[in-house]
Amino acid sequence: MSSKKKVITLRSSDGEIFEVEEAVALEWLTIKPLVESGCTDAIPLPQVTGNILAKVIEYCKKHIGASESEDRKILYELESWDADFIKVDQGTLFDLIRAADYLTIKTLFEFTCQTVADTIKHKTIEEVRHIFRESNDFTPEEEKEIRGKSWWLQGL
Amino acid sequence: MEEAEIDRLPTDVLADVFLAINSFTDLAQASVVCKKWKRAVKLALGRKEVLSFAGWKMDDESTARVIRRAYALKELDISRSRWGCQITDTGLQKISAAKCIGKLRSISLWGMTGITDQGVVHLISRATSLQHLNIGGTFITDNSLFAIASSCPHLKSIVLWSCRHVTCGGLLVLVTSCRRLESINVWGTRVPMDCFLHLVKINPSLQVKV
Repeated sequence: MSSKKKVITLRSSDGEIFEVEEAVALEWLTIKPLVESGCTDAIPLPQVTGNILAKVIEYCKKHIGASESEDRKILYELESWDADFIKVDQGTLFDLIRAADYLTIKTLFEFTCQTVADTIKHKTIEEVRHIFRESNDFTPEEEKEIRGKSWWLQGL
Repeated sequence: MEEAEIDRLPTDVLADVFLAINSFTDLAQASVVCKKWKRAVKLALGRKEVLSFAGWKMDDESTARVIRRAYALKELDISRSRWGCQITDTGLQKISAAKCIGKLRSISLWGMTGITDQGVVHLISRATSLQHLNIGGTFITDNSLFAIASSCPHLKSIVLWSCRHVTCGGLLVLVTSCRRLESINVWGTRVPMDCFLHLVKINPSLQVKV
C-alpha cells in the first residue's frame, strides 16, 4: 500500500471538479460502493451544485475522526466550528440537507435537520410561517378550527 | 410572495427534520403551518421513538390517536403538564391497544391524578418490554404494583414518588419479581423504613431512594 492518501474525484452538477480523500468519500454511503470498487473516474453528483459540494466536503473533512474524539477540548472546538459553519442562508441550509440526504451522510444530515428543528422550537405558528415564508393554505373554516387546538389531530 | 426555500425539501425529508423536534407542542404547532407540514408531521410521528406530551393539553381520545400512529415509539411521556394532562383510565385503556405499547422501554405517568389502578393495570399488562416507569404522584395501589411485577420482567427503574397508597406488601412482590430492578424511588410514600431493608435484602444491588 502506498503511503500517499488515495484521492477520489467528484464532479458537481455544474461541472466543477473536487478531490477528496478516500476516507472522507467512504463516509458518504451513496458513493461508498463506487469508491470501494476502485473507481478512478470522476464520480458525477448530478444533484449537488459546486458551492454546496464544497460546503459538504468542508464539513466532512473537519469531522472525520474528530466526531469520535473523547477529548473535550476537541469536541468543544468542533461544536463552535459547527456553529459558524451553519451560519448560512436558508436556501443553503436546505440544499445542505438535500445533499446530505442524497449522499447519505448521517452526521451532516442529522446536524442540518437539528438546526432547522431548533429554529422551530418555542415559536408560534405565525412566527414559524414568517421565518420560513410558508403561506397558510388552509381554508378559513379549517383555519378557524386550528384555533380549536386539537384540530391538528383530526387528520392523523 | 417569493417561493419558500423550505419547499425545496420533499415531504419525506421535511419529516426527518420534524423527527428532530422533541417537544410535542412544537410538533403540534408545525402541523398547522400548512398542509405539506401537516403531512410531514404525520410521517414524522410514525418514525418517532420518543414522545412527550408535556406542555400540551391532551385528552383521552387525541392522546390515543397520536400514540396509535407512533409505530416506532420507545419512550412515552404523558406526565402532568403545565395545563394538566386530562387523561383518565379510559385514555390509558385506549392507549394500551396501540401497537407500540409492547415495545416501549420507558413510560412516564407522573402526576396524572385522573388515573387509577384500573387504567394502569390495563396499560402495564401490555407494556412487557418496559425498563423505566415513572408513576409518581398518582393514586395507584398495590394492585398496579402486582401488575408491574407480573408483566415487566425487564424493569430497571421505577419512581413511586408520593404514591401514598402503595404498601410494603406491594413493594416486596415487585422487588421479588422484577429481578433486574436497579433503582426504586419511594420518596413521600407511607411505607415504613424497615420495609426498605427487606427490599435490599431481596435485591442487594437495589438503590432505594427515600
